[in-house]
Amino acid sequence: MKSAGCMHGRVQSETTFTGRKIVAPDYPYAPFNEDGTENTRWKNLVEMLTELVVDESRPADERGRAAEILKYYAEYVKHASEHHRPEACQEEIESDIRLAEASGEFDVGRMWFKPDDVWFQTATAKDGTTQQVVVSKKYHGPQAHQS
Amino acid sequence: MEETHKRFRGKSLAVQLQVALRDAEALQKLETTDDATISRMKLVQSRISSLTLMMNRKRADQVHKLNEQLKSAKSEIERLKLEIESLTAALAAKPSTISQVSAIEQALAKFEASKGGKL
Repeated sequence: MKSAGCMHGRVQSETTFTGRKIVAPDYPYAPFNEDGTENTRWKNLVEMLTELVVDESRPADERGRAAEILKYYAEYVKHASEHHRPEACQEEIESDIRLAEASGEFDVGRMWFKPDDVWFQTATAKDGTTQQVVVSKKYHGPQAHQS
Repeated sequence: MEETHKRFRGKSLAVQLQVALRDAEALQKLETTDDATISRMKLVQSRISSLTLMMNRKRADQVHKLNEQLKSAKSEIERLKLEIESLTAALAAKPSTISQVSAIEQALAKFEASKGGKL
């Protein structure tokens, strides 16, 4: 259940960097090739950013942005995998972790390709634990409620 | 009122054998040996032989039963070992969330270190 939104400025407010979707001869960090086919060099965006962040040939702002997004992803997935649920069976826990990975990857995509549409909210679980989650600024940000 | 049938446990084979041996001992101590005594001695000898045979059979049955249990326990151990092996292999083959997250954390640590080096 999501509570009222709270601005979390570490990614949204400071960046001017937007990830590229198409690779170039000197730039492999994109999910699609020039002919529109999928770039199979990386399994997913998270794996791509993990390589980008340690690539010293890339500009500092690009690597910094990738690092911030990866921090969010790692925290998000760890929260799901380390969340203590004695009532759940192993299958349910694994299913939840896979779901968190998929949801986390979706958030990573939004943060990397659409930084202007990123809005952080605090989600509160039934047991009272809270977590920062990414939502669409367009639909869940302060402007969305004013119209 | 219903008639209740009381159940009695018969003497054990060991006790019966003990009694038969005592009888044989008593017959051995007799000073006079007539036909009746010889017949009784033969009877006691048969009792002893039968009881010994029954005890051996009972023991063999118990050993057989225990061997079967041991065999089944061994096959269960083998089955569990195979299950552990297959589960371990499946776990190793599965790209775990933990390893992915730790790869990210290592990359972030490397990034932070390189950032610190440039300052």
